[in-house]
Amino acid sequence: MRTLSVLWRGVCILGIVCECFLLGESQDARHLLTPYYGEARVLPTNVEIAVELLRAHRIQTFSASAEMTDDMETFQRLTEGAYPTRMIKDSPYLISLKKDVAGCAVIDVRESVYLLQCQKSQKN
Amino acid sequence: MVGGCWLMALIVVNYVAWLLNFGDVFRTFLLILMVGALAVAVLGCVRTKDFLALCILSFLLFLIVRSPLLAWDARSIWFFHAKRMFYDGWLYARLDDYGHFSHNDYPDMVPSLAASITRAVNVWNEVLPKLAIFLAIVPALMTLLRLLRTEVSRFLLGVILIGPILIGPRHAILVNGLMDGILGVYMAALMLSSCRLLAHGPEYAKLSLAERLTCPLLLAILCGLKNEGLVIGLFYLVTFTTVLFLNRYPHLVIARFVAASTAAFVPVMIWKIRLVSAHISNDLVEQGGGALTRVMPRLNVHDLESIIVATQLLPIATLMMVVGFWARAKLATKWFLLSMVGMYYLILFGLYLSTPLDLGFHLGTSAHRVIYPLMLTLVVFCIWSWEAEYLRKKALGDASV
Repeated sequence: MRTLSVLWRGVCILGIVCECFLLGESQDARHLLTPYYGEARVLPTNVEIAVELLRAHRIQTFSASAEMTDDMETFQRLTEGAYPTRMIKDSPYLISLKKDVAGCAVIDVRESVYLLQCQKSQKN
Repeated sequence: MVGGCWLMALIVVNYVAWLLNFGDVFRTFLLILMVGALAVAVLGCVRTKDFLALCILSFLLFLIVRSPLLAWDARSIWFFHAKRMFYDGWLYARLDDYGHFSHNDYPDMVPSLAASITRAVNVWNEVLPKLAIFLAIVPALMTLLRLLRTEVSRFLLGVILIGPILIGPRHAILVNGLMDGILGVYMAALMLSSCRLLAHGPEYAKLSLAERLTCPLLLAILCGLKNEGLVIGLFYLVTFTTVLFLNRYPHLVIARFVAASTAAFVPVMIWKIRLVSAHISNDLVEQGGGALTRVMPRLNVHDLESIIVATQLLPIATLMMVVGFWARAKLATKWFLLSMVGMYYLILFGLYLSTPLDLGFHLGTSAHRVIYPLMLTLVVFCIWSWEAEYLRKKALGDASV
């Protein structure tokens, strides 16, 4: 019985050592203090690019075109992924998958995601 | 024991600190104390050579940290709340109802913990806030591990908690950032702690302060996890008080229990009062008008069958029968546990029956999660009662020798 108990404790200690080793080897654990780490793995590609664009231009508020907001997942990931940049309907900045939007001029583009600046009256 | 109890108290104080808008310095100080309490708990395990507990805890930490936040509700609700608290610096910024989909009315025990962690190091990413899940699970898990005394039953608990996580992401509700897994561990810990108090009889007033504080602290965290926790908490208060009355416990003991348990509701009540003044309500309440008109058409074989299958009535009923007929425990203990589980199941059943959402969608996205606390509580109770019976027989056997 005592041998079994010692063996059991040995197995547990071996388990703890293995888990600590795996934890140390894990990329996610190594990047625990890296700002924005992991976004590429959790956000849809278009949303990730949009968030990068908004951060690069230090934009405070934006609106998104219908093709991005109609899809529930894209809408929610864009809203939470871009925060503290807020999605507001009448913002002059527009994230769109199309280049040509009436009354808007392209500020930046990455892959197929456009950041546009619009005159409010024309956009509406 | 003491480390786990301190950790629970600090988690509650951290939430209160967010609710009362205390500064970052205080919250960082609390976080340092939490790490200290965690260290005390771990050292306690080393001192008592409880390597199984350490093995389970380190495995959980590994499972939590090995992946970023992926689950839908974890991203859209819980950790979006934490992200808002991280950037805005205060809890009530959410009362502007930005991102309505994130259910801004939900309580934030774990998100406030995540926000404290990220603000302490001033970094937001997709992995760091998940440490809050680990910090939140530890005290409840330590409570369960302390209540189970044989290595076999503790090992079984470890398998029951960690096994599903290894099956696939859908079953990883304990570590993927959804509150249901944490709620499950807290509900099981609260029920088992209460059953142990009942097993002690009226003598339980003589237990140590840490042991007597365990239940109110578990209850306070449970109520702050999510709205279901609040419902469970209210049922608990009513049911346990009734059991104490029926079993003729001294009035002083009952009064102390009611006072301590009522105090556990204070943090979540502060939040609810602020919600009322900001005119933010729950989505099910907003769309809840005419619940009866939705219930009537759903009283057909197809819909009832869908709810029964999705909410796993058969396994739950089987486990309840096992508890009722075979598990060795006091009648009061069984009555308490079964009435809690039964009432909570009926509430869930009624909720699905009257849901304003599409029934198939609502069942498909939530039923497997909300049932988890019930299943875990019943299974853990079975293990606990069988263990108690085994230890009793062993003691009798030893005595006869």
